[in-house]
Amino acid sequence: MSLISDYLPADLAERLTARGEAGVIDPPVRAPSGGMGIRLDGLGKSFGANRILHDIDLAVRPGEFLAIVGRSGCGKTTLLRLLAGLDTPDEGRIELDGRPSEGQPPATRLLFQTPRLLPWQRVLDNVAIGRRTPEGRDAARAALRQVGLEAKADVWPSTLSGGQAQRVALARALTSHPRLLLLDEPLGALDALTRLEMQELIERVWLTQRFTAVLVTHDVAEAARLADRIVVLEAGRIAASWVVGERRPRPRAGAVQGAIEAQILAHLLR
Amino acid sequence: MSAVRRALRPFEPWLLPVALLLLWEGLCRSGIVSSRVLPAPSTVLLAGWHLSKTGELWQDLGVSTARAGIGFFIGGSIGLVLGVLNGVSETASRLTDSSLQMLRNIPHLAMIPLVILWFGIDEEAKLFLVAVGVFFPIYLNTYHGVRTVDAGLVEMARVYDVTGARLFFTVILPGALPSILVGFRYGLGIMWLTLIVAETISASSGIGYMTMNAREFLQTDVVVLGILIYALLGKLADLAARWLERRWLAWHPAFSGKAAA
Repeated sequence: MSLISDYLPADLAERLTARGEAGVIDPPVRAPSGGMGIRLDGLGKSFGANRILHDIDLAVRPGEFLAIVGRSGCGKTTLLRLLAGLDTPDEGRIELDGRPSEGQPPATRLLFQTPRLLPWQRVLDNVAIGRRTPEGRDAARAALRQVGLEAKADVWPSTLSGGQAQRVALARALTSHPRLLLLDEPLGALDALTRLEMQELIERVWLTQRFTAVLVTHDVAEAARLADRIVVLEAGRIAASWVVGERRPRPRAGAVQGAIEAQILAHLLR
Repeated sequence: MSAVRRALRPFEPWLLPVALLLLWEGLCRSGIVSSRVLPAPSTVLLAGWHLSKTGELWQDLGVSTARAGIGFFIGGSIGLVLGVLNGVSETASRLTDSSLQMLRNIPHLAMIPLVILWFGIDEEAKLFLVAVGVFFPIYLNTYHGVRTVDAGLVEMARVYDVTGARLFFTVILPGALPSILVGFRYGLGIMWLTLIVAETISASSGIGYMTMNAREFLQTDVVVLGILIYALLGKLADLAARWLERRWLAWHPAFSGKAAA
């Protein structure tokens, strides 16, 4: 389905929708964003004498899909850990929804590089983690259905394939309807075909739930495939950024994202 | 042919013990081995039958099992609690772990003379020794298990708002459980060993006492019976531990055999 709003930046599309100017909007395809707004002001982090990140100024709109790419060791994972409240910044500040953030941010979930499922809990209990109530289990079942693994609800995680385990981890992140989803190279360990499927799944889920998403990856094609905007991190600071104006849901190999991928690679490999 | 072999498979571990028993019986019957040195299995069985008819055997067995159980419970509980405490808390570990590691190197059976001075040959002496013996393997393995719980899982739990007691019961304890059960199994072995030694040296009831008493009257068959009972009790304890492992570690591919539910 191609709607006018699909071609517009997320915030503009929303404003138009609110006024009823963008015509017919199919809610499941593009629900109004409940995502979190992020603002980073002069953010910096050092480990000992090692300055991992410095002078990071960045604003992420509610509901935006932002990708952070860079070579390994450029500080992109550190930036994500700061956003998740797993590390504390040494300089600057993080504002979430306009309020300074300290410690564990609310309604934020992180998808790790590895699934990190609890091997001693069955898949459904893993997805429901943190919510053992009947409603929690219902929500977990719904999330499993969303990633297409409802049939695996009662098996042990050790019997899942790598891709399935990462889908379960995605379901676990979605169960509590996060307003900010952080993705730390979650597809890095998967084979190429599974990775493409997961990218489609992540985009579909994001289009339905409209949380803010921040993806860290070294795979430029993946960033171009998923993100509204791509930020390139080099030596601990933001070196460049691109807006990807491709329509949603994105084609697997669109011309726009292909061109941007080429530009970013040229930048990184220059 | 293969169907027959498959049907016989469960009995394969028993082939060797049964063959040895038959050999033993044959050697005794033919008079090659004197019954003073080693009574025939049938004689031992008969002695067991007589002792169980008078109720003596059951009473001694009951006394020994109770000592083993209570001693294991006391030592095991303290080991588990301290292991968890030191595994979770850096401060507690700094305060107590090095002292415990020092005490660990004292063979607990070396304390028997001191324990007899303290408690005489009363129940406390046996319980104390069993508890001390069981404490260390359970403490060490619990401590190690809690310490080596996957840090990635703990971090994941933090991001998913699982903290405090919930963090302990959903992540740390299950993660440490395989190691705790190793300590449990090891502790069961030490439990019997300690009890046998303690009862042999100083007791007025129990299987160890029964065996020592029989020695005074040259009842070799009862002595051998006592030894066989220990072997049996040890095997039972091991089976119990294995059963717990299969039940509690069903998620673990190494313990379930068929993890696919």
